[in-house]
Amino acid sequence: MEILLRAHEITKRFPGVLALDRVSFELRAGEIHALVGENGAGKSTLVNIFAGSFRPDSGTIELEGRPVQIRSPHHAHELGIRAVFQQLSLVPALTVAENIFLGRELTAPGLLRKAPMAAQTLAQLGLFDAGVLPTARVRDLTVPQRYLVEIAKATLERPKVLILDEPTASLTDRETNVLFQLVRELRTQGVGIIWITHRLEELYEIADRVTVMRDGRHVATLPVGETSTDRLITLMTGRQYEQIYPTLQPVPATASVVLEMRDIETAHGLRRVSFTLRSGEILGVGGLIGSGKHLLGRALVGLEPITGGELRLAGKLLDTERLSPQTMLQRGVMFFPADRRAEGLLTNRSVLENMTLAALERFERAGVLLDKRKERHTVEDFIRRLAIVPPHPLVRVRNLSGGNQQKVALARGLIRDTRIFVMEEPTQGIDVGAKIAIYQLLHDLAQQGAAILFITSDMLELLHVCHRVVVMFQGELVATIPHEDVSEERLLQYYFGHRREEGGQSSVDAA
Amino acid sequence: MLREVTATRVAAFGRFGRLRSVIDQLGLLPVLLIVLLVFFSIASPNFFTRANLSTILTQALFLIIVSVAQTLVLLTGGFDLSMGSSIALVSIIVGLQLLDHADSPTTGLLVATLVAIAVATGIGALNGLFVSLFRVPPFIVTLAMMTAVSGLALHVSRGVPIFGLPGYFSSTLYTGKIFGVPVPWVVTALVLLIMYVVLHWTRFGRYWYAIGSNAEAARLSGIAVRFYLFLAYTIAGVLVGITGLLLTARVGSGEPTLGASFPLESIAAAVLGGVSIRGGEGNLFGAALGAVFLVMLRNGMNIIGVSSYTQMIITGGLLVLAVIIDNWVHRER
Ligand SMILES: Nc1ncnc2c1ncn2[C@@H]1O[C@H](COP(=O)(O)OP(=O)(O)OP(=O)(O)O)[C@@H](O)[C@H]1O
Ligand SMILES: [Mg+2]
Repeated sequence: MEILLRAHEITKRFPGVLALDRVSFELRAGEIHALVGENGAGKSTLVNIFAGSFRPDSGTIELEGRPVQIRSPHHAHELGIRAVFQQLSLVPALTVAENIFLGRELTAPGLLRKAPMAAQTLAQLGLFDAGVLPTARVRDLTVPQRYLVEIAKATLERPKVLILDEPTASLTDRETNVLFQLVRELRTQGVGIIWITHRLEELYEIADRVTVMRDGRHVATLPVGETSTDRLITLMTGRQYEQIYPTLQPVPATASVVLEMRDIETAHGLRRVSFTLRSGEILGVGGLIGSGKHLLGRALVGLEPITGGELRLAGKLLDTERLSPQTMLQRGVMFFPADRRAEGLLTNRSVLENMTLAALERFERAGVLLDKRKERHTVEDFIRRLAIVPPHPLVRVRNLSGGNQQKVALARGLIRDTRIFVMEEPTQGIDVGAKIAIYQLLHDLAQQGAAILFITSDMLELLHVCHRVVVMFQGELVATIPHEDVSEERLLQYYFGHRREEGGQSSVDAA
Repeated sequence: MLREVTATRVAAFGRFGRLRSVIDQLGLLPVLLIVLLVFFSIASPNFFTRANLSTILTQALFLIIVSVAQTLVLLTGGFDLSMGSSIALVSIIVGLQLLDHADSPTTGLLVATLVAIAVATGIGALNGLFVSLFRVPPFIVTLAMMTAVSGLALHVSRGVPIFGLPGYFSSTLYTGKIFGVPVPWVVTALVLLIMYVVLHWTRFGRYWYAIGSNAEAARLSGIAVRFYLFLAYTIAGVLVGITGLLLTARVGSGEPTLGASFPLESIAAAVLGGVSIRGGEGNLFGAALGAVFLVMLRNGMNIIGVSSYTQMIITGGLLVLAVIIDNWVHRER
């Protein structure tokens, strides 16, 4: 097959950090080439160079056999290189359609041809099923929905090279499958696709070859058929892991109910949702994009106005009209938003300031001055436990890789004394090793009596990490499944709207 | 460890990384300050003298306090244009009060101080209220406040200065000394110290930085964003009141147009000193240094005979330049 893009001995040095150390990489036309590695391995840096956002310090790039210097993102577009990054680049105030055609308004004749095509792409991606219209404003969409719009935008021009930086991080199986189809179609048209992911299991379905990076270096490039997940993990981390998911300890029968929702409704979305959460329990929430699984968490902390139903915390009825993240925090409920950059992180402040922001009272001496030593110790402890690189409290969050930023956001909630965690996609973008640490941490928390609402689009997490799983479908909670009974087929059935059966109903009552 | 941080910071800056990173940390200011010193010393023998340097610093004190106040508001992502007219109103009301207490220094000073702080704090609180509770953009709120308060000051004073203030006022608050140090110096030092502690050693400071950096993240971390916004404008008001009082003592009369140039100069000082106009970044010592820089520039230009109109042009140009540099240093990659 023809070599589309070839990078030879690319080095990118940020003084102090050698992000890429003589990395060579090649992409064939009509190939899906996966790029994997731990957080901070240099994946995003490499593709940023292809996309024109960074300039390499040394090394050469050839596109279709000709040497090129990719000068800017705009130049990359002209060369036919398109990228979708971890940080989305949509304009929130514009509509879906406007965003897709942003920068192309001038080509009026082309536009007429493309409008139906865009609509088709979006429909293919399941965006319209999820209730999103081309006229919807992007700011009203959930994070995964925005991602779909972004992908639609990037694929519209049929680029030569398509770069997807962790495209499936917040997608569930259905959307992932649709994306697979779309990408395969592009492959048959000769597009070369770079696919960065931390979900190793999806490689076998989608990728042709996989390149492993570690510490800014190229470790191996293999045909997917010749590897296994275990081998990849070893290549990525230099270590072997016995067990990814910790053994679930049962929730004690005597554990009290800490949170109860009864017939909760919201203005746009949730319909008569009821469930309970017990102390020591990890309750998974699954469902397709637009199923309301994210609304559930947001409603709980007052970010989605609740229009009906009852919410009880430790048996006490709350005034649902006056919920706010702040009052919920005071009651020990911490929310982890999925859109870390927009809602979670102070990108121009240090790791330390980000981590302790929600728990500063803990570090006050005599209630006034901050005990900076104690603060620093705590932060260093979390940096170590979550393997954040570079391991320094004073680095600005803006300079961390995507996965490491994610870990910082997570640590903030863990440092604060919290009884109920409401987590939207907590392991999104995090590498295997750190995921293992986080699962363990969540289990320890649960063992100590914390309750965790674990909203995730990763089915494996629902299968392995949660004591019970509830499934959302079109704003309704359609099933509650205890850990013993969860299976992929079962989850998928409910994802696509099968109503509760025996198992589901009875476990609701049992809870 | 410091070197490590520097290194990763440098990494964020891409082209001209080193230069941008150094500016990011120290500000362009120390360099500019030295350039200025050298330039004026060569240009005029009257510049680099003990007496003149001490004049510069004494003049700078007032701008320093206002710049610290401005920094506080800038950190939260806002700014305050009403500080100048607030100083004018303080000056008029202090003047009127002093006339009523011409013969009793203790009462007079007490009343003047209380009134000065009360008036300016009230204005700051009002700004804070509109910005936080009603979510009116700081630009609109403080511009409107500037106009209204300035009108009020002119109205109350009928547009003329209030002369004949009792002599004890200036001799206590301007030339008076505490342990041999002039009162304005002591006050400025205290303001810097207290505000430093508040900004860097208490949660208040952390919250202000957080709000300016990402208000939504701050809210989701349980910070009462509106309250802290309100507080920032109010505390800035307190500092403005103090400045109004000291400045009135210095000029010796109640002036209805006192401090008109402060809003712009304080923003320029802060931004030159590395405080980001977009909030969440910078510190008060940079701002204080920026104030010294501006005053030194004015002083030097006076000495070498630059006309005051030209000076205005230069100050305006400098503000734009400072913002451009701020953009360059703090731009997201
Ligand atoms: N702008 C920057 N300034 C300083 N360091 C940076 C910058 N961007 C990346 N780095 C550093 O370069 C290294 C590689 O980062 P990169 O974003 O490429 O990682 P990644 O493989 O994409 O990780 P992740 O899976 O977490 O997204 C990291 O150590 C990171 O801290
Ligand atoms: Mg990355």
